[in-house]
Amino acid sequence: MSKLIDKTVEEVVSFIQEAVFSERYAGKEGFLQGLDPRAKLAALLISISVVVGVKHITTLLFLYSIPLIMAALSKVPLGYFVRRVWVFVPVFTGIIAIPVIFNVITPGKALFVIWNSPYIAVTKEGLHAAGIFTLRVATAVSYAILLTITTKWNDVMKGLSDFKVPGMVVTITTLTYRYIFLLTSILVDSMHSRKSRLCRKLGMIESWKEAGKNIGAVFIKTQMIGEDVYYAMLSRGYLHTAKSLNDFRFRKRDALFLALTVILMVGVFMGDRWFI
Amino acid sequence: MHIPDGYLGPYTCIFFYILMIPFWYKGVRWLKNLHPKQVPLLGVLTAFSFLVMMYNLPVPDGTTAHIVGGTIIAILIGPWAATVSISIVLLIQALFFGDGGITTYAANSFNMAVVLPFVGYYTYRVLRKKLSDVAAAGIGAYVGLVTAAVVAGFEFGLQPYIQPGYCPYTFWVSVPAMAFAHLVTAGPAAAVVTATVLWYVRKSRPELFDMGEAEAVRG
Repeated sequence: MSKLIDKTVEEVVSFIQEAVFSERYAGKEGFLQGLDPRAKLAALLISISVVVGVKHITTLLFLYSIPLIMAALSKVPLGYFVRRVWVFVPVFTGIIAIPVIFNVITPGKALFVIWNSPYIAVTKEGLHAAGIFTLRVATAVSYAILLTITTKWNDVMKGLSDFKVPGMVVTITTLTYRYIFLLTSILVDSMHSRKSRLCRKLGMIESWKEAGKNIGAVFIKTQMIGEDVYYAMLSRGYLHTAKSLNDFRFRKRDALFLALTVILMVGVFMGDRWFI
Repeated sequence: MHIPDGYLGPYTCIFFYILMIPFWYKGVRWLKNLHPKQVPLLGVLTAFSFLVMMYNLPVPDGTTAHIVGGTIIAILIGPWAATVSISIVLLIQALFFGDGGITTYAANSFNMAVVLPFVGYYTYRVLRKKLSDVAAAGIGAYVGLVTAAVVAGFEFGLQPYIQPGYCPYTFWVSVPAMAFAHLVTAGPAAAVVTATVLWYVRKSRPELFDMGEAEAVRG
């Protein structure tokens, strides 16, 4: 009927599905699920920084294997995990990396000649450059997604306050997360109600105007909800400072996990710089 | 426009984290001056910013595009509100959906939470003296989005000169690619959508439209 309505509803549904699926694995009793979210957040920041900093493809292959092992230990199905990473990577990075394999962008030793005049060939250097670029993105995405699917959203939010993120920002982030779901439901309802009143396909400019009116209406509703939320918070004892019910305990195994991550990542980084 | 991890090298990422410190500092100071009643409102409005990015707008090449909504929030609430809201949205997207990146978070925040709303907002403020509010908002959104895309193109294009092994294309490819896509597809969509939002809010709830004005006066 209309791309605006159908694709937007599709996007919202896939967003909710993703969030629900992530929470499903976060509730399992696996290796990463049993760790303190602060230890996992710190390990993620260190690991991704090393992924971005290393130079060799062999190091990246080694780094890519770590989240796969961690996923298996955390009872996350490997097929689901690998698919989630590689569905994202080819769409953006794979397409961008394709021209890099040719001599036009990366001159070098020709491995496979496609055309003689003008001369177009796949080069060894080009394949290496595209490979390292794609693998780096896939590895970084793997680490980030692994944190997401083994940690409950609320726990990550609580963990953030220990990373010197200002309390006000954590409060707003927590509220945002909660209200995203309410607003997505309002969005889907308004899209369906508009669709039920349509008797023909919307043109492109018409779709943009419809989106504008819809966003305007959601903005007005958002304002009303914001006020209600404030009074609801006041009635429950909100004293203008949010207290985080953070009952995390940093145990020995969390410290050991973090220490091993630091040792492993520093070792990998130094090995990549000086020994490969 | 979300730059994933692996596109920018460590030096570029560190540079953007340092560059963003004063903007985030000023944003947090702005938050501290808010009336307590406005804090939950900003939380819900940040969820609204997240939602704006979910609209799939059909564009001339047959696909669909997303808008960031930074100019909408900057005009309706204020540019610092846009910086705070969009920075939080980008954090949620990077941490929970692998959309954007963690090492590139500061670069993404600079493009979408600083360049886009401020360029959009001040273009709107300048043009509003000569044009209607609605037209000025549309042009502001267009200029803001295209400028942010060109800045992202420059970031990509600088990378091969700083450190190889990341985004492989120089300015000559990355800037025209980013600029063209946003000039002819997402840019016009953002302009029409933003102008319509402003027209709709002004017509339905004019008092809400004045929030950004009050914010501008307050500084």
